[in-house]
Amino acid sequence: MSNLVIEAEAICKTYGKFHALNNIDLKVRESGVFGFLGPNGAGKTTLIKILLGLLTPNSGNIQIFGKDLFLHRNEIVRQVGAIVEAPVFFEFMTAYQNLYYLSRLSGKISKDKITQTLKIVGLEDVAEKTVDTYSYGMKQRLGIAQALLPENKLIFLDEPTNGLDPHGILGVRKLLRTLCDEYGITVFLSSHLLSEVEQICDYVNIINKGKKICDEKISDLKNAYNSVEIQVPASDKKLFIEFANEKKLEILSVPEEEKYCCFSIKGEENMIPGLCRELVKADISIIKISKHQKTLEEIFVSLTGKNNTDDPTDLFRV
Amino acid sequence: MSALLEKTIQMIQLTSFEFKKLFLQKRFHSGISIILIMTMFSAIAVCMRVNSEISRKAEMIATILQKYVNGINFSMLVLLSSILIILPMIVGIFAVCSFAGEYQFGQIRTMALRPVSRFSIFFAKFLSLSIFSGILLIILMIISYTAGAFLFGWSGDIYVTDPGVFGKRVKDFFMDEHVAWIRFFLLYLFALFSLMSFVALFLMCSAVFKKTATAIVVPLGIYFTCYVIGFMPLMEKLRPFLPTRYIFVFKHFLTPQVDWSGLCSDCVVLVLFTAAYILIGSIFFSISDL
Repeated sequence: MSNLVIEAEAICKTYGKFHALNNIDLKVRESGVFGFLGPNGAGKTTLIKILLGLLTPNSGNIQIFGKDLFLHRNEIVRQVGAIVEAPVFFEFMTAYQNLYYLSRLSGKISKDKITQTLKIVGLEDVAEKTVDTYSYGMKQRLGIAQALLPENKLIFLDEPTNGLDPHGILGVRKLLRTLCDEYGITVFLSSHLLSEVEQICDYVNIINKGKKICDEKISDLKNAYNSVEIQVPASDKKLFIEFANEKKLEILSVPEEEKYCCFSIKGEENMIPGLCRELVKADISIIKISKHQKTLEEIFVSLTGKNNTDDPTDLFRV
Repeated sequence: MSALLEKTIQMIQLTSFEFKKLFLQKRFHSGISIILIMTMFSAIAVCMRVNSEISRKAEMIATILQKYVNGINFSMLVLLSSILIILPMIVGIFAVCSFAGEYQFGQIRTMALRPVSRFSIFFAKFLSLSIFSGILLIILMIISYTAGAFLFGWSGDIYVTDPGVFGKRVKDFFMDEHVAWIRFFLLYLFALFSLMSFVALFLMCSAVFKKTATAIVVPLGIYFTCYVIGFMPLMEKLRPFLPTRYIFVFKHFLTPQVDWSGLCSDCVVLVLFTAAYILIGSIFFSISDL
């Protein structure tokens, strides 16, 4: 098992009576892209701010690079870059000046390194323009450049593809994978774009209403949600339920249609041949049977939407 | 030792960063423009006063004015009139914009993501704004003296009218040329301490309130209220506790004989007030959520 870059235990943060974070544990492994998901108001930014020492939690222990954050904050932050909420810069300065003055505070920085980083994020042609002339997407790119300098080992990116065009989004995805695979940088990515997290992250952590609800490798999480869809005539519905109970099959959902019932049961695709034989023996007509791989989006919705007594805050009511 | 050196280098880097920010914005230009306008209007006013038709009662004073007005006391006059309102407002607004403004728009967070303590950020802002205040005073001194010297004469003895030193009336008096020159430079030097105290007050309010408008209005309210209370006859017992009693410490140089012990004790209290503003401001900043 690779080394842990971040190890946080029992983090709690309250604002008055509101519990923004409730006993959150977090383990981030070295050299991976770590996706951090949650609905609006789940506490993602609060946790990132706490991990960067911008907010003080009510309780909890945090170790980054094996050192206590509260005792060695400056030492730790020297190797950490971040974009939190939105990329904010000194607008009257050029991109180059912003990067130079900010990264100089973390240690020695060479002009070549800044130029190289600006080239990586595609801003080398506008490096001498003041930031007030930049679009939001360009500021996002500058934010990523700022997070990379001087030579950070861990970067926190809070919605880094917001405001980027499709080429920019693709570029960021490639960049994050390259940073992780070639330079061994650990990326902590908070995003609402689940397809993005699915494509580039190795691990995912989902929180909701200040509580952790999932912390797994993406491939394991998706495997855990593998299912088999079986469509039977509506007249065989009762028979199928009895069959499922007898064979101890876990029915995940029963979407009803007029003529057919489509059952979703927990299981892998290798159970399909045997299941077909059993169903035929039990005299249940099969209209369709297939493997169903849930997307991260479906898993996210099912994890953050069910078993919640309160209404989610980010639902549109149409 | 190396840790101390590292801290010093970091503080220099932070201060130069803050200084660069002040100069790259148009604020510095507006500061100089205000000084130029202030000097121009003062010159017009003094010219009109010197050359005006006067009543018999004021004839003697006018004669003295015509004889004893020169670059030195014109520059002193411009400083005294601008340090009451204009200069504190300029440095105060700049201080609030560089702290509460950056807090509101999030640039402070971008800086706090770096391995620098919040006290260092606060203190670097204080240092850079103090240097900025010093530069404004030097520019004011050069412009006002040059204008005064060009219009009324380069040097000579000066006539000091009652500046209202700490609520006490001081009789008008003449000052020799060489004493006037020393007092002139000391006046500007100690005016810098006054402006530094204003900077610390505005920074403290920025750290406490975090909103630009509130951080401008509250310290100005405190300053003017204390100033007015200081002149009220029934409030004499309260006067030693008011910051405005010490903020104009440079007025000691406008008396016939400088009360050095009074000046020293006033300076100590002014430094204590300034240190308290810095301490309170940095504590509020350190515990605030970014």
